[in-house]
Amino acid sequence: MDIKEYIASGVVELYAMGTLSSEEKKEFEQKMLIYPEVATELKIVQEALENYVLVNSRNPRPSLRAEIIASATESESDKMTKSKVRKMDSNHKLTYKYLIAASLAALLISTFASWFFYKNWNDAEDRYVSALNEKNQIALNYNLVKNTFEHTYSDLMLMRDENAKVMMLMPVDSTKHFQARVYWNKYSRETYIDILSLPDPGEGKQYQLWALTAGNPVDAGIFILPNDAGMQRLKNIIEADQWAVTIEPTGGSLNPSLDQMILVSKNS
Amino acid sequence: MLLAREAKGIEILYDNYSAALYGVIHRIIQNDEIAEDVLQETFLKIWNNFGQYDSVKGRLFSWMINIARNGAIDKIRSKEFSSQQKNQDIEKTVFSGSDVLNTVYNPDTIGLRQMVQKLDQEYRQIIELLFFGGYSQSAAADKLNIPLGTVKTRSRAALQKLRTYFGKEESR
Repeated sequence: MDIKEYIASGVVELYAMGTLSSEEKKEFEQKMLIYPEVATELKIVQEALENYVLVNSRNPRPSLRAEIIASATESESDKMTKSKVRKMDSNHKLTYKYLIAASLAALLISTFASWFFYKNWNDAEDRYVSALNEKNQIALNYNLVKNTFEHTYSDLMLMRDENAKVMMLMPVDSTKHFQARVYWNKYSRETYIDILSLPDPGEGKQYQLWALTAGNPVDAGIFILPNDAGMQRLKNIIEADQWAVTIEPTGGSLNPSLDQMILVSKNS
Repeated sequence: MLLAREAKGIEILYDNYSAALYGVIHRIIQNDEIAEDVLQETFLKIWNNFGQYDSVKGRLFSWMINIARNGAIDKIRSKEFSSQQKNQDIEKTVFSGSDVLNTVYNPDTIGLRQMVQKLDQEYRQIIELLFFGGYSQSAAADKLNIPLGTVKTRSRAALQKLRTYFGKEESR
C-alpha cells in the first residue's frame, strides 16, 4: 500500500484517537518509524485533537489543585521511602540470618558452658562440704583438746602453786584401797578434790568433804564420782588441819555422819 | 530539596494541563466527584510514568490526554462506576451538542468555540464516539449504522475539518 494512501485511509486519525486495535497500532508505529511522513501527519492530527480538547477545557474546583499536588508529592516521597525500606528489608534478611546463626552458636556455647560450670560447681560444692565437715571435725577436736589441756593445765598450776597444800586421804577401813587427794590453797582458800579410788556411794547417797579444825567439821561441799580423772572444785575453806570424806544422803548434811566416814587425812 | 523541586514540577504540570484534562475526563465521566478522582489518578500516572513518554510516538500533550481519556474510560467501564452511576449513556453527551459547548470555561478558547460549533453533526459524532466514548471502530459503525470503512474516512474528514479551523486560528 502506498504510504500516501495509507495516510489518507484515516488510520492516523484513528491512532490519534486511540481506537486502533493492538495489531493496527503496532503496524502504525512501525510505519511511523520507517516513513517520516506518517510521523509528521500524526503530529498535525494530534495538534488538531489537542485543540479540540482545549476548546472543551473545564476548570476543576480550585481546591483540587492543592490536593492533587499534595498527593503527587506524597506518592513521590512514598516511592523514595519504599525503595529505602526495601533495601533495608534485604539487609535485614541477611542480618537475621547472621543473627540466627550467631544466636545458635551462642546457645551451643552457653549450653556447654552451663554444663561445664555446673559440673565444676557440683565438684566444688562436694569438696567444699567435705572440707567444711573436716574443718568442723578439727574444730571439735581442737576444742576437746583445748578443754582437756586447760583442765589439765589448771590442775597442774594448782598443784604447782607453792601455797597449795596436798593432803592424802586414806581409807578408814584399812582393808579397803580407797584413796583421794585434797588440794587446798590457804591464801586463795580454793579447795579441790582429786578422786583416786572410791566406790559408788549407793542409791540416794553422795560423798561429802569436811574440813576439820581441832576436830570441828566444816562442810566443804558435796561431790560426785567423775567420769574423767579431773579434779573437782569444792567450797572455799578458811582453815583446816584435817580432811574427811563421809557418805551422806543426796544434798549433803549439816553435820557429818561419822559412822559413814570413808576417808580421812592425817592430822597436819 | 528534591521534594521541593518535584512539587514545583507538579504545580507547573497542573497549572498548564488540569483544565484540558479535566475537560476530557468530565466529558466522559459526567460526574464531578468521580471526574476529580480520575483527574488525580491521571496526574499521578503522568507524574510517575513521565520517563516512559516516547516522543517518537507522538506529542507530549496528546500522551497526557490519552492517559486522561483511557483512565476515564476504564473508570466508566469498571464495576465501581456502574454501581455508583446508572451508566449515563454516552450518546446523551455525544448527541447533545449544546452541552458540549456549555462545559467550556477556558476564556482562551472562547473564540474557537464558535468554530467548533460549526463542525458538522456527523463529524462531531464520530469524534465523540471514538475519542470520548471509547467505542471501537466496529461498535461505532454499528452505532451510526454506517460501514466500517466509512468510520475511517469520516474520522479523517472530521479531523481535517478541525485542522482547518485551528489552522486558521494558529496562523492568526
